[in-house]
Amino acid sequence: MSWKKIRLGTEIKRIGWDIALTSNFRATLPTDKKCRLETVLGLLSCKGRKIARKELEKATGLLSWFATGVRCLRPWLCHFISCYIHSPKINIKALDAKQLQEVHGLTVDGNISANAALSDVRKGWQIRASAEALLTTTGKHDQVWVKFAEWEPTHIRVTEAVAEAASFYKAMVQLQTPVPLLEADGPLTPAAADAFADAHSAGIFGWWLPPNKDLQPLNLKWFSIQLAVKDLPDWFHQGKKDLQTHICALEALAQLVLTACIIEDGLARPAWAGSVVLRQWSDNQGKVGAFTKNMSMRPSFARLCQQHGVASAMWPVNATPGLMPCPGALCRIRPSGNSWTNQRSGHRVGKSCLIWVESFAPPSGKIAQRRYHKTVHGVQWVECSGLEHGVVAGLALAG
Amino acid sequence: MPLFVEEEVQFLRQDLLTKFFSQDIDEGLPALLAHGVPTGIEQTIPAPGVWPAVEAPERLALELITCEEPWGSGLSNPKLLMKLVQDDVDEGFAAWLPGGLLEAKQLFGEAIGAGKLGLVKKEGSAPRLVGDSTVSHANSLCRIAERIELPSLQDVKQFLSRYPQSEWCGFLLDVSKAHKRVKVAPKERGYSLFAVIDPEGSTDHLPLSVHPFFFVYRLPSTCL
Repeated sequence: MSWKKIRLGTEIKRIGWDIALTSNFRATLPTDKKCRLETVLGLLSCKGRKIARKELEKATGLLSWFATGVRCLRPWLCHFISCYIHSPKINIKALDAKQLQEVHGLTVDGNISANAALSDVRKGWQIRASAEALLTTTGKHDQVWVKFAEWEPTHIRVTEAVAEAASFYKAMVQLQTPVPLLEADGPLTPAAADAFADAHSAGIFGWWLPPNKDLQPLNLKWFSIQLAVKDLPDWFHQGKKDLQTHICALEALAQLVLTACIIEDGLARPAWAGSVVLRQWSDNQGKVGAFTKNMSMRPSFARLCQQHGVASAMWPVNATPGLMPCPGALCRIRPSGNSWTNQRSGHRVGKSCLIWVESFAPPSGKIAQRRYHKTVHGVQWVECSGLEHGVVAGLALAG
Repeated sequence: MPLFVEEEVQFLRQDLLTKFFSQDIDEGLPALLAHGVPTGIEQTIPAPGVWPAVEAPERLALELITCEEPWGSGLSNPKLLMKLVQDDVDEGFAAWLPGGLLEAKQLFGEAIGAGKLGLVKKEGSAPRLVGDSTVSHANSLCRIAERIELPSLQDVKQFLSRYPQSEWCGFLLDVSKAHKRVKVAPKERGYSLFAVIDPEGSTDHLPLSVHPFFFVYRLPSTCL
């Protein structure tokens, strides 16, 4: 037994946090950790500063630990990781004919296979542009400029995104706000959101039952938003005009809008709870995976995760995604009349929604319990207890 | 005066192993701990259901190697290294092999691998002895069919949230050098060999301990 480490009481230090088990269950950042984070973040807040790659990796590890406790801050970690994984150091060298010849001889599949003897080109560097293409750009003394990418440099320059994220984190660390340790499940709220996209257009749709309302068609609320590329900011589509390629981010957007609607509608929160857990189902595995770890490396998705993080901190709500047992299970409906499954337009959804709501109303008025059923004729069913015809509690905008 | 006498310790140990694990999902653990746990080198350690099961990767095409000397941190301070090794031997965590590698082969056959010892010095702490079994490929050959997860604040949140109205008192318990106290399966102890350079050139023989965590053998200082 390590006797000097034994502790007993309502305030203990565990997994790096000061945990208070008193009436207000809280975890606080210890002073030594706060100082360490402030020091590291101070260095990373300066754009352009040169920092050892190992130091950046250590700092990212420390921030990752911190963001595991303050979960809403996780989405900003992507900027630090991008800095040393996705952003190589660019080396531009002026090479004469002999040096160029040597580099050509060492190049295998665009990568330098060994350290050059005639220049300081190093093993592992990647040629970013062919030397032939750069021949038009000449330096002094018949030299040619060649651009190399160094993927694991010993030092890295702090990017603007990292500097901004570091400043943000530093401000959060300095607040030393206690992390509440009690969460409560939100009230059972039938709700669903989904997105569709093709090359040219996209739409998000969602519906929910406001609190303390009977499960009746007229009590349901919904939103339906049609989107075109021009409606989306540059950081979302990043020049990729095919909206189908952004389906994960659109799904996340639909869930974010649904969360905002439910909370604005008066989500109940017990007095003793620090935050409320809002569990949401989604049929998009990519979206669920990214939200589960509360981080994405894709710029558009990362921004949406960050928006979710802001929302989580403000209300406070911990939106926890779950994956439906089979793709599309939430959002397929009985094709009676088949007026729904091929709906693709947000405008048409409005009219169709009324038709669907009528068939959804259970005669007993019980809140529907969703359960996975089976595949029939290629359509996934979700059976709801308390209903007569196995109507699905959801809607698909895409077939 | 110690808190418990030896008989009481034995009783507590047996009581914990039987009652504590009687309804545990990992019901085979007490017997494994008593006999000696496998390393996962010869056979993949199966998932007992405590942690998420994963598909263990195929065994790497690596051979176990026997390193002939410690890491540089140990070479640069052979006396300190020897002292720390002897401390572990005195506590029963390690045992000398007076006959060196030859004796190891007699005991374990071809199932041997020798890693490298090193010294780690952190500011404000006493130097620590560390054993690196990656360099001998022993670590890389271990296969475990489960993914162990470390607890986070989310786990604390989820637990406390199940009992929001309860009063709680926390306690922390740490077992010093816990990993060295786990008995390894007898026939697999040859994977934890380490060589030390003896600057004195002495060849003291020390009795083998009952279940050492690792074995050490001396090499003469001419090997430097």
